[in-house]
Amino acid sequence: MATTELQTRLVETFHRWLQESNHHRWSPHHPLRRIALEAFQKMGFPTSRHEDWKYTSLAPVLRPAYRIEPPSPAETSSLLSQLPALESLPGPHIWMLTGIPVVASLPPYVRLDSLLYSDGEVPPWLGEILRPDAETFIALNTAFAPDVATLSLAGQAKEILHIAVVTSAVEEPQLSQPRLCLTLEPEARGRVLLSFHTLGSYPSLTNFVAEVRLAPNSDLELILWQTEPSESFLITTVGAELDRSARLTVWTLALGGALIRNNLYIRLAAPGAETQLFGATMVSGQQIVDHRTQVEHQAEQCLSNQLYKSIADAQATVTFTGRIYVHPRAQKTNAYQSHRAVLLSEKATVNARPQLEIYADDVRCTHGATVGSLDEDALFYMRSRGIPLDYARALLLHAFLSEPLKSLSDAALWEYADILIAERTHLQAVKP
Amino acid sequence: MATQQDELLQQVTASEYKYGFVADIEEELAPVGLNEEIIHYIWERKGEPEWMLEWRLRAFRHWKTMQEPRWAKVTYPPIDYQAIRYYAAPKKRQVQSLDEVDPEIRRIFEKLGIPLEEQKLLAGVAVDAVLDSASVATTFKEKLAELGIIFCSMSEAIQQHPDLVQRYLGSVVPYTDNFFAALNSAVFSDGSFVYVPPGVRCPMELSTYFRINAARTGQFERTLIIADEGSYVSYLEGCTAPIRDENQLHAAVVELIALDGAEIKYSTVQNWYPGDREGRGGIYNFVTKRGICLGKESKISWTQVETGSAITWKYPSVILKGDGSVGEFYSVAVTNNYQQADTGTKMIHIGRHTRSRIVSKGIAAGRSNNTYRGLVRVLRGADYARNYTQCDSLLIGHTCGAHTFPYIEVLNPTAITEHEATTSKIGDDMLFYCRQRGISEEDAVALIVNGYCREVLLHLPMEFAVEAQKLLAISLEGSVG
Repeated sequence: MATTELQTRLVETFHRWLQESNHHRWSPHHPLRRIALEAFQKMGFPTSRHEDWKYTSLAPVLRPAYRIEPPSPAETSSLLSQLPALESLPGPHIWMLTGIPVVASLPPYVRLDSLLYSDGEVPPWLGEILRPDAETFIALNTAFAPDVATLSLAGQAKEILHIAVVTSAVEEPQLSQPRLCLTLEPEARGRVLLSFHTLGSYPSLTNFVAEVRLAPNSDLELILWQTEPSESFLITTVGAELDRSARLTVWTLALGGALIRNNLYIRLAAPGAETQLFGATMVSGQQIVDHRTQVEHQAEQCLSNQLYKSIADAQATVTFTGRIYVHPRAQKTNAYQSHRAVLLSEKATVNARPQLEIYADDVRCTHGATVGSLDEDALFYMRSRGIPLDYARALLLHAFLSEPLKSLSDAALWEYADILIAERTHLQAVKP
Repeated sequence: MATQQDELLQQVTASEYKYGFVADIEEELAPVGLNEEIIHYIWERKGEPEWMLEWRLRAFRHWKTMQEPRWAKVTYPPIDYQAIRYYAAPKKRQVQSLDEVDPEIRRIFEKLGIPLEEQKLLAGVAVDAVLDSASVATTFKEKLAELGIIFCSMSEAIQQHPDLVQRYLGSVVPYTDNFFAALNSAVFSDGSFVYVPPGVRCPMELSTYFRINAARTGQFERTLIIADEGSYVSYLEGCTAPIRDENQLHAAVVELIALDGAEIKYSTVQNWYPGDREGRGGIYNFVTKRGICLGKESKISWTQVETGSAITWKYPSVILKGDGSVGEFYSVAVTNNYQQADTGTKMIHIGRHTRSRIVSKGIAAGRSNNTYRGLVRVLRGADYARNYTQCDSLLIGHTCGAHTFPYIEVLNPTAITEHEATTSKIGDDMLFYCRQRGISEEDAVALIVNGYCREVLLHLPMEFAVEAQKLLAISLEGSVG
């Protein structure tokens, strides 16, 4: 593996930080950060020879001369005045500005701990769900995250907690490494919206990592909102561990960005845990969206379900890699996975790798993957009833892509998602 | 119920390999090891023309630069390629009629239940029997020759049909393709060659029985089948091998070429020694099988029943180049004890209106691992390509693993690909239904497994279907729960 310039600069920067910083709680001297740096040095950035990056080349992502330093306090406060307006979304309650958490308003059921916000502790379980030596981008984030935002949700939350992850590249290319630890207390219920934004016209790479712990009987809905049209690169890694009878639902809406890679690692660690993963993706131009999910059934009687739908237009590429792993003791497992994709252009590409790895016999596991174009029969049916071709196509695409998000529990958010999808599928534009 | 099932499981895992024996035949052996001298030795022994030596040496030199692939989901101790004997041939070679065949060799075939005489009498199966590396007897040759069909050993083809061999050998699987294909190209000793002339429908199933016999002798067959315009041929390949403690390496290459409107049907029943109950011994089977539908409206169909070998690494593939060509893959793979199978197919859609169908049934028992790994790739120009893939896995017991790793790459908006996979065990309700009607548990399981594989078994030629069903029964004998 060739060492890239960025890798060299990262390692140098880290060593400089080591010399400059004192031993505060989350200084570069923290053993976990040093382990992570070593792991990063050892692994390097993956090339397309790496099985996990077979279809997505990191070359354009690694090219810009990113600024590695997080913003200074002064820069952060000046950033606050430039924040994007997010009218159609609730909140936001917490901003993560190039990796630094800033609180706008906190609902009563949320407790936030962070080194910079509350002089808080680094959670002892940091790096346990997503081990720094597992993957390059986890290692990178663990070593370089300027702060760790630790959120704890208790009770039955009604409203959505909105965390807006913003990377500012106004003056130069910027590398941003936000880190989040999220805990749901026993019996807690919560909804968290993570939206991703960029400022400025320089290229930016956001390497977002979140570890999520769900206590028994807790229920979390997590929404990944990636809709902003931009030339930025976004890599997200969410690792979750579910205790007894916990429920996790993740919705991903991926419409914007030059390159998006979403890693979702879900561990069903105790009996009765349940997870549902939904994704809607539409890409055009030269966009690349690469979803990777891994659902690990470690205990018996767990359920997992995945439904991802994708549309690729122009020269865009959608990749889906989903793995279901069933451990020998995870009997009575039910695991389902489905990826359906539509290609609209002769230069678009869809890659799918639905994978099953199963070591228990009393299971019911299925996966399905289809790639195709719009259903000619459905088009004919609509046209025979006087619906123009353009509108019939848009209707079909809109219906196709909205399906995974249909069960979004928040009506306002669902409506907004529906509008965005309608815009992307040109539903209104071609309406007769 | 549980204990009864455990007992049954015990019985399955206890069933030993039934076709194990070692025959004592005088053999001519090459020295152990692999270097350019050995390749000269093989080339000399086989009396091949100069261009073959160059080809073999090129392959060998390329092989030396390659690394053994490690991506498959199989584990085995490192193979010492210098500890293998690369050539072994029975000495008595000049056979005029079947009666002159070494009685020992004929006894082996009789033990396997495929006596040559019977085959000859039976509905017209021509057998090109390969015992270890050299062809021993070929039947029905004249009958085929009347139609212009060439069916002979690869050595003979190199001597007598060098034009065809030179043109097509390595055209589908070049020696640069992969580690084992390169090794095979360098040291292959023999195999079968088939050429069917334009418009000829081969009137009988062509068949070869491969066996690995001599100790520490890897066997490296090379098969080349060419179906010229509008022709049809069905080729059967079946294998058994005797019990050995040491692992034996097998790296075959099969190339199929179908020209305009031609159809090739290639069926395999593979039952090599899988190793004993503790996972000792067994054959390492690293095979490269690939066909190309070169002409328009051509068709290549692979059917395989894989029950043997300690390790199976095999991906019979079809390159769908001709417009409207069709590729098919039907597979049953059974693993038991410590067997490991990583098998599947590749369908590469290049031409317009190309179609492919994949049906894979995996059955894992004991402590085995059974993996389906497949690729469906639709290239930019493959307008209206169509693929349907179904891969089902059945798990018997909780100590085995069943895995599915499909790769789907689509670059054409008019193409439609569908993939579905399921993993499950034999349903209690199915068993209950059968038991309720007075069918014993064992019979019920056999019935269900047979039904589960039926879709694939139906595609086997009649001669093979019987053997395949027998093999399934033996592999999962007293079976499952």
